[in-house]
Amino acid sequence: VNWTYDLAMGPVPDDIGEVHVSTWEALGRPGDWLTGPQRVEVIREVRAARSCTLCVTRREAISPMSIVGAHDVVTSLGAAVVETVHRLTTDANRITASWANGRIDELEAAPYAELVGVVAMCHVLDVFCAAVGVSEPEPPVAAPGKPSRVVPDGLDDLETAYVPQRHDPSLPNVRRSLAIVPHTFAAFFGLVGPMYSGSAFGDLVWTHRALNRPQVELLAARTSALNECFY
Amino acid sequence: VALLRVSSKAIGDVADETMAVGKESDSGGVEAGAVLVSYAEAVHKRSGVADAWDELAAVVGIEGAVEAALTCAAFNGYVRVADGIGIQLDDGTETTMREARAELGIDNFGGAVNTSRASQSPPSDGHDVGALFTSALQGQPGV
Repeated sequence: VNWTYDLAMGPVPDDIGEVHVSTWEALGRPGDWLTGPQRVEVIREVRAARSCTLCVTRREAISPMSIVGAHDVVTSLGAAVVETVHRLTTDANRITASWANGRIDELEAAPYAELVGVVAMCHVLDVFCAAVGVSEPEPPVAAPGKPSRVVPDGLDDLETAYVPQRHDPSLPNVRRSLAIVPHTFAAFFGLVGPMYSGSAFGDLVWTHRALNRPQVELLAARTSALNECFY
Repeated sequence: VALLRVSSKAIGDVADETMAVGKESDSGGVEAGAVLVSYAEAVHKRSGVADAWDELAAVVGIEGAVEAALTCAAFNGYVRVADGIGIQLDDGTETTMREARAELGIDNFGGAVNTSRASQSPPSDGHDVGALFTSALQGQPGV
């Protein structure tokens, strides 16, 4: 991966940069249910979705699904995958159970969840590049191989999410959200954890960083609100 | 917003939570709050990022600005996972922040319908929001 933060507006910690590069490389490798080439195609489609005419029109509509048409696609991914990727990219906050269940009927729950994770990770890295003033990296090189296709034990349809969840009341819902795709779960939280709180999530007072905890939480809350995320 | 509230309280401050939904304030009870919010908004729009960065870095330092970038980026991932998977609010947050959500207009966000239990239990006194997170997440890697 030809990717560096040398030209960033500020000094990105080496360990963070290493996680970003390793995550990006891993996105080119087989995942839980998607192959490496498929995951790379998803990344290309995420970036195309940002300027998709249909997505822009739907985003501006009161009822997005009342707008019919074809997405501006740049890959050979199937229609259900394209619709999922574009919606997650441009209008995720207005996803409904009806829409999600429709996609899950077409794709099945685990591949749908993997798409959520891959799209989310692409956004994390692309937004960070924009936030520090560097260009987004080229999509990763697709690696051959088969997805793991591991079906975790202990998942139930708890009707608390669109996909089966682990029944563990000690975990917050966001930590159970990608349990159906363990490879994607590990990659996503391995990426965002160090970017947010690292090992200090349970500490309400931070003195080891440049920003204090309320400053970080204000950024988190404002970003969530800008994305109109209820959670 | 829950963690903004409890973390501010932990250092003896009171955060103006309306800043999270775009209300203007000098600092919102958070050190450098206004420039932090301006930067988050610039990143979201992908417009004026360099200027917002300069203003932010002048106040919180360049390392602080990098931490701000990391936070904004990470939460662009969290929100898509939450909305894409359709998770509900955790019970403790649902009850303790109910009043604040209504006041801030967060209940109008599309994902609110996922929290179908919203009106089924009375709000608690909100004193222990921090414990909801710390008890649930202590020792959890990657959070």
